[in-house]
Amino acid sequence: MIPPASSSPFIALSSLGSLSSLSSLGRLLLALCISLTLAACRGDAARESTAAKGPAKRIASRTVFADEVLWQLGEEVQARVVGLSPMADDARYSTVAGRWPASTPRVGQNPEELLALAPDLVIVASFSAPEYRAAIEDKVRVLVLEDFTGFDDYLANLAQIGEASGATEAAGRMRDRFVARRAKLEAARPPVDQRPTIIAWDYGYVPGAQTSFDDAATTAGFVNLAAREGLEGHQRLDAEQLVAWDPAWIVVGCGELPCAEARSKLAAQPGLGKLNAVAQGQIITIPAPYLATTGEDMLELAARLQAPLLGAHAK
Amino acid sequence: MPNSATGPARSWRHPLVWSLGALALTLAAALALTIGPGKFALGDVLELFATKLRGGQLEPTAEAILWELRLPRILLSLLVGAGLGCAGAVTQGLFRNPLASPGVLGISTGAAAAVVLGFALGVDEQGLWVTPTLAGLGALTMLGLLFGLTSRRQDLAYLLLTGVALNALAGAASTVILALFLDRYALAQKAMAWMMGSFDGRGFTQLGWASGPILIGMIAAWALHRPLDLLVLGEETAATLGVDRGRLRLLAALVVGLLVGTSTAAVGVIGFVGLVVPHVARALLGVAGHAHARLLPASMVIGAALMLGVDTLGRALTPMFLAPGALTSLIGGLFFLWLLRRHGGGAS
Repeated sequence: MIPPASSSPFIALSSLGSLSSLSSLGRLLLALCISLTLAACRGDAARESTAAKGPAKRIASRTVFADEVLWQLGEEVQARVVGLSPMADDARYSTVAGRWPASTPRVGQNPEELLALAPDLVIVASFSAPEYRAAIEDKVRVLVLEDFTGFDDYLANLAQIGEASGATEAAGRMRDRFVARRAKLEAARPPVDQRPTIIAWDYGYVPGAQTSFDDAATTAGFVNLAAREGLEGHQRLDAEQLVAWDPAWIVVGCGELPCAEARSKLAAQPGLGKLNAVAQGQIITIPAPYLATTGEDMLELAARLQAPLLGAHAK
Repeated sequence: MPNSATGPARSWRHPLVWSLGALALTLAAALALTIGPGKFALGDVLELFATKLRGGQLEPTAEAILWELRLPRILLSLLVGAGLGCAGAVTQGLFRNPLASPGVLGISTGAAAAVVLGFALGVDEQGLWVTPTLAGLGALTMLGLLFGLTSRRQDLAYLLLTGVALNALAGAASTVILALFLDRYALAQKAMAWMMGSFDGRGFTQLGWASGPILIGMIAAWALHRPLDLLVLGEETAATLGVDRGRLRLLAALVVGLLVGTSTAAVGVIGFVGLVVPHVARALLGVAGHAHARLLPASMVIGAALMLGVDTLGRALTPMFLAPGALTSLIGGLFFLWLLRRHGGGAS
């Protein structure tokens, strides 16, 4: 149900309106997913609603990805941020949760709230609500980040934010850091013919090709089984199919549940206890924001995947 | 009262018809065991089950797919389909309205609201039993409200309108909860998956606790066939023939609540089955609307067959995921249009 162009399981649901029945609610959720899919198919490059007019002085973020990047760009950029996405402090989604000062407003669903902050740059994602974007596009410079399908999109988005915020040098340093860490992880992974299969299982959904998990798993030294079997984006997968594919390793997210409980909950599900990965204890638990991130911490995900793999390899 | 022993209905008295129907359903279920991920021929499946029943050890993947997942899933699809078909026949009989469906009483919507609230509060993470329990509690709450609000009036129209209002309220409650947590992707994902219904990942545990209430509900529904037959003649006529309208209303709503609430708790929301299946029973098998002794079992068998077919089709298309609730609505909607057209053509 996730747009193929988005590797992160974030969807800004909006405009639920007044619904009076379950069927209409279901239709609404379906329509939202379709509209988000269409929105994600618009183009490849990031877009701005108006031509760039030099470095922004008052920056507002409407995506958790931009919350993370703006924090990582350093204090000079942080000081110019006047608004953050509502998920900036949510430890289930944001890898910078709790770092932004409470005095920086978190901007909700109402565009008036954003405009009241008088930003001169607003960073949104292609899957942000179209109504919201339409309400602000002719009043403020809007940077629309189109794709979030892994490492390449991260670097492209980082460059866009760096340029729009006048922090090209800081963005360049982040890029170099990312490239170097990626190279180090890739150098440590097992040879191609010894790379085991892996699947990330989340509420019955799995990330296939064109996802941040796919890039992270490949960098760590795994073969993302869902991608190898032809799945693209985040897809629902039948438990029977998971058992039939029988990945050597399995990844589960933890956050709402402690990691140990997430592991035992997986093993308790009918059929899944018989997976080789479960029987051999090859379950990797990852805190939820690292599975969700489309930012620099995709490499932290790769590192957390690689550590148990190298440990098992060394035995 | 029309003579239900005439015409096509007569053949239903012959036990051979029921025996053949049951045999066909059993064969279909056995064939369904071979369809899905993993390559298992019918002979392999039967051999594996024989080994399992003898207490032997199976290869872990085969045991997980066939024994722990597919067998209970197929049995659950038969059970849920039968229960929803039966609930539909009872609802249409109770309201004497062919467009009535179990959904109008708001049972499944109430179950969904409770589940969405559970997702929003994160309590579903406490264990696999939490979501079905919440759904059951939601269904019971709706049933309690329905009875509480209609206890002083006996007419069915009031019950129907109260059900519609509660349905709307519960739907709105789900909407409000989702609206309050718009930025939580996982919540929307879980809510959507649950509202589309699924037999995926259901094992013997879910089958075990759903079997009792659904079987009791179906037996209780069958026990109501005579008063439901008399109700077709009109409420007042039925009352003069000894039908206690208040008691019938209470029991029928309880039966529908039990069947729909348990089904929804087990597999999520499966729409349209309760509306369409009784029509299929009447149209294809020549069962008269007033002959509930035959209509109810026929609806159970056809509901079970429909749900088995839908689930098997979904499994055959794996790894593509096809939600059974969406598929039943699609098939049901098309069939219903065909039925209406056919009916209209006959009348002209």
